[in-house]
Amino acid sequence: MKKMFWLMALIIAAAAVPACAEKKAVVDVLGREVSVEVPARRVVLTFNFEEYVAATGAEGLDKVVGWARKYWEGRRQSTWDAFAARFPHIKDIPDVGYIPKNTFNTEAVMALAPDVVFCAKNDAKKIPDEVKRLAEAGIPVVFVDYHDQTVENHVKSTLLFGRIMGQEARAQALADWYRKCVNKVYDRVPKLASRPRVYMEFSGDKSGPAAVGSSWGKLMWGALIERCGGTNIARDLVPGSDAPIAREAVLAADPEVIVLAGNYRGDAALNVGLGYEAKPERAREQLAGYMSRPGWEGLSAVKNRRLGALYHDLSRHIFDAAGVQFLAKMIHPAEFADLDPQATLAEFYEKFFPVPLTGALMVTLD
Amino acid sequence: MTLRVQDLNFSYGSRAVLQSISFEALPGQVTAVLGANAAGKSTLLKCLSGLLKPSGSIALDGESIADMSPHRRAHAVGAMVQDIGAPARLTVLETALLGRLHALTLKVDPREVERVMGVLRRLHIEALADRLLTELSGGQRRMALLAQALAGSPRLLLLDEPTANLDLPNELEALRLVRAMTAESGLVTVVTLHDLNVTARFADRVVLMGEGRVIGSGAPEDTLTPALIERAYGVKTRLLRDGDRVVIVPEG
Amino acid sequence: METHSSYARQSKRKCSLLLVFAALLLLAVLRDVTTGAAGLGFKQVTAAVFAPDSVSPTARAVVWSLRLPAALTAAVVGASLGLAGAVMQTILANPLASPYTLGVGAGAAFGASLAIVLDLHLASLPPEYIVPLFAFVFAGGVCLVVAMLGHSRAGSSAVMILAGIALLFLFQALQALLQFFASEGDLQAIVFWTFGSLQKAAWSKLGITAAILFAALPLVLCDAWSYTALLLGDERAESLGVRVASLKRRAFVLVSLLTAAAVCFTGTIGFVGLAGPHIARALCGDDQRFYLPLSSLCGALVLSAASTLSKSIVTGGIFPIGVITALTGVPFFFALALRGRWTR
Repeated sequence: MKKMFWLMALIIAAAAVPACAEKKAVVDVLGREVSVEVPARRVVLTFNFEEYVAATGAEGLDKVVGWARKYWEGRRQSTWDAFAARFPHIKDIPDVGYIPKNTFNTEAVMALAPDVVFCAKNDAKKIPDEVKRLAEAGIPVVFVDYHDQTVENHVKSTLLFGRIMGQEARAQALADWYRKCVNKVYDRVPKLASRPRVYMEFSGDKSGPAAVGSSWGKLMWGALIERCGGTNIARDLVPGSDAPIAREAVLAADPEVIVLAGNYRGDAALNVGLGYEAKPERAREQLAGYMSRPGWEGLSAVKNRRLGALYHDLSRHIFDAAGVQFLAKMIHPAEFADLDPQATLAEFYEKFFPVPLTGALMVTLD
Repeated sequence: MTLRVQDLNFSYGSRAVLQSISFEALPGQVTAVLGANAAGKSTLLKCLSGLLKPSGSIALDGESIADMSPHRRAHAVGAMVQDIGAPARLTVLETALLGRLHALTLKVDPREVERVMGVLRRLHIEALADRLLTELSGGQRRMALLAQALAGSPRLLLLDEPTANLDLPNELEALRLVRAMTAESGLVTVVTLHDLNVTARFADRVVLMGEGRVIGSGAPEDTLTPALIERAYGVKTRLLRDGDRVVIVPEG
Repeated sequence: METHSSYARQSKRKCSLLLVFAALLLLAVLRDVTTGAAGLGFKQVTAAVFAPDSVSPTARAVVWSLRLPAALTAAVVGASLGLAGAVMQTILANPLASPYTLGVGAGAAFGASLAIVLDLHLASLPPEYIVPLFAFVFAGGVCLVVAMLGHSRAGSSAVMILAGIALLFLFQALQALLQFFASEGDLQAIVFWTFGSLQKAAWSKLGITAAILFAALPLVLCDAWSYTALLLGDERAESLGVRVASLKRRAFVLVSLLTAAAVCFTGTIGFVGLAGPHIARALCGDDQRFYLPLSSLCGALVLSAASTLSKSIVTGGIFPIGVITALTGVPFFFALALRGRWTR
C-alpha cells in the first residue's frame, strides 16, 4: 500500500514537471527588471514582428495570441502577404490596437490572458498607464528596441526574445550572425581615410522624383551613413528625425553618392518601388528617373552614376545588417568590394526566416 | 409726381403690421407720418423705399416702386434711415458720394465731387467733409446720411426720424432745410416725426397712424385734433392758440 | 473748392501708397530670388537671368527651376490670398474673416489629403498635378454648395455663412478621420501639405494661379464702389442700388477661385489672408478702390518676406512657411492694435 502511494506520487510529480514554467527575472532594454513566465506560452506582440519570428521561429509564431495588426497588414503589406500565405492562421489572431495611433486596447489584452506583452522602446512614453494596469493584472510588459540602430540593443532585444520564449540557442545564433555581419563594416570604417558626401532621401511621395521626400538628420539612415564612413549632407539641416531638405541645398552640397530609401509598394508607379513584389529592372528604371531632376546632371553622384536604392525597412530591423553592408559598399566601393549584401540578406532568410526572399530590396543604377 | 399708396398690407410672419394703408403725398410738400411707437411708421417707410415687399400698390408718378429695378429705384428714391449700425471708416464726403453710386467710376469725376460738395454746403456741413463717420456725433452722422439721400437727386425723399438726437436749434434748421429743398426741387418728401408741435410747424400734410392703420390724414390742423391724438397715442391733449400758431399740450 | 482739392489730394496720396507698395514688393521678390542655400549672390542671379549661358548649369538650374518660380509663386499666392481676404472681410462685415472662413480652405485640405492617401493615377495628368486637382475640386465644391444655398434663399447671407461654417467643420472632421487611417508616410505628407510649402513651385502652376489672379483683379475692382456701399450695411447698400445678394454671391465665387487656385498648389498657408487686409485698412481706410489692391500687395509682401525668412532660418533646411507667416504677421497685428487703429 505504501509502495503504491509513493508510486502514484512519483507519477504525478513526473507529470507535473513539464507543465511547470518558472517565473524568471529579466532585464529589458529600458533597464526594467520584469518577472516573466519562462518559457512564455501566450504572447501579445505590439511591434517588431519580424524580429520575434526570426528569433523564435514558427514555434514562436504559434504562441502569439494577439497583436497589433496595423503594424503589419497595410504597412508592410508584402511581408504580411507572404506570411499569410505560409501561415493562414495568423489572419485570425485578434487585434489589440496599435500604440503609435493611440488605439492600444488594454482590455483586449487582459482578455487574452497572455504571459507577456512585447512592446517597442519608442512606445514606452505613450503607454505608462497601460503598462501599470497590465502589471497590476499580473501581465508583464517587456520592452525591446531595434529603432536606435545600435548593435547593443539589437543583440540584447534578440536575446530577450530567445530567453523568454525558450529559444535561447536560436536567438543566440541570430545575434551572433548579426554582429558578425555588421562588424565586417564597423571594424573597418575607422581606418578609412575619406568620408564621401552622401545624400539619402525617402522615395515615398506619390509624385515620384517631382516631389522631395524626407532626408534624415542624426537618426536612422542619417546615423547609419556616418557609421558606414560617409558624410550625411543633411545632418545639420533636419531639425527632428526626418524632414525634406531644400533642393538647393542638395545642389550646393554636390553629393558624391545618392541613395534612395524605397517604400513598400513593389508596384509603385513612380517612386523607387522596392519590396517582395518588386522587379529589379523596374526599380532601376525608376531610380534612373531621379537623374533628370533640375540641376542634378551637374552632381558628382549623377556624373559618376553612383546612385542606389534600398528597401526602407533595411534599417531598424534585425536584418538591417544587409542594409548596412549595402550602404557601406555604395559609399566605399573599393574598400568593401568583398561584401555581398544580397547574399547576406539571402543568408538571413534561409537561416532564420520562414518565408522566402523574393522581389528586389536593393538596387544600384548599373 | 405724386406718391399714391393704395391698400398697403404688410405682416411680419403672422403679425399684421400694416393694414389697408392708403394715402397720397404731393410734390413740393412735406408729408409727415405720425404715430405711437410700433404703430408701423418705420415699416411703412421701408415699404415705400422698396426694402420690404408689401401687398397693395405704391406708385410714384404712376410707376410702381416695387417693380422698379434696384438701379432705377436708387435713382428715384433717396432714403435716410435711423442711424447705421457700425459706422465705417469713410469720410462724410465719401459717404455722400455713395448717393451717386450709379455715376461713380474708378477715378471719380471732379464734377461729381463738386455736386456732392454743393449738397454738403446746402446742409451746412461742408466743414465736416473730410471727417470720418466714426468721429462724428449721432446727429452729424444723420446729416451725412441726409446728404447721401439728397446727392442722388431723387424724386421721392424718405426720412425716418431725421431729427432724433438733434438738439433744438439743429432740429429746426434741418427741418427748415428739408422744407426749402422740397419746395425748390419739387420733391415728394415723406418724413416720420415724433414731435407733434414740430410737425404742426413744418409739415404740409399729416398721416396719423394707429396700430397699423391710418386713423386720419390731411392738413395738420385737421389731423392733429385732441380726439385723433387721443386715439393714436392714448394721451389727452389740449390745443392752445398762440397767434396764428397752434400748440399741442398734453393734459395731466 | 478747398475741400474738393483736399479730396483730390487724399486720392493722390492713396495712389502713391499703392505705387510705393508695388515697389516694395519688387524689392522683396528681388531679395527672395537672391536668397538660398546655394549661396548665389545678386550678381550671379542677374547673370543667370539675363545671360543664362554665362553661368554654370547648376546656377542656371537653381535660379530658373528653383528660385524664380518659388519667389514669384510667393508673390502671386500672397496677392491672391490678400485680395480674397479683403473681399471676405467686406462682404462678411467681419475683420476676423479670412479666405478660409467659409470652408474653402478646409475643402482644399481634405481634397489634397484624399489624393495623398488614395494614390491615384490619372492617365493623361502629370502626377504632380493630382493633389492640386483634388484640392481645387473640393474647394470648388464648397464654393458651389455655399453659393447655391445663398441663391435659393435670395439675399440671405446668413444662410451662406452658416453653410460655409458647417462645411468647414465637416471637412475638418473628415480630414481628421482620414489622418487617423493614414499610414505614417501619408500622414507626414498631409501634415506638410497643411503647413504650406513653396517647394513644389513650378512655372506651369504659377501660370495658372497668376492667370486667375489677373482675371479676378479687374472683376473685383469693377464692383469697388458697390463694396464700399456694403460697408454701410446691407439695407443701406440695397437702397443705394446695389443688388446685395447677387454681389455677395459673385464675391464669394471670386474669393473661392482665388483661394483655391492659390492653395491647391502651395497648401493652406495661413494668416496672409487675414493680415493683408488689416495692414491695408490701417494705411488707407475703407475706400475699396484702394483697400482691395493694397491688401493684395500687402499679402504678397508678407508671403514674400516669409519665403525669404524660411530660407534664412535654417540654411538648407525647409521651415514650414505657414508657421513663418503667422510669426511675421503677429507683430504687425500687435503694432496695429497698440496704435489704436483697430477698425470697425
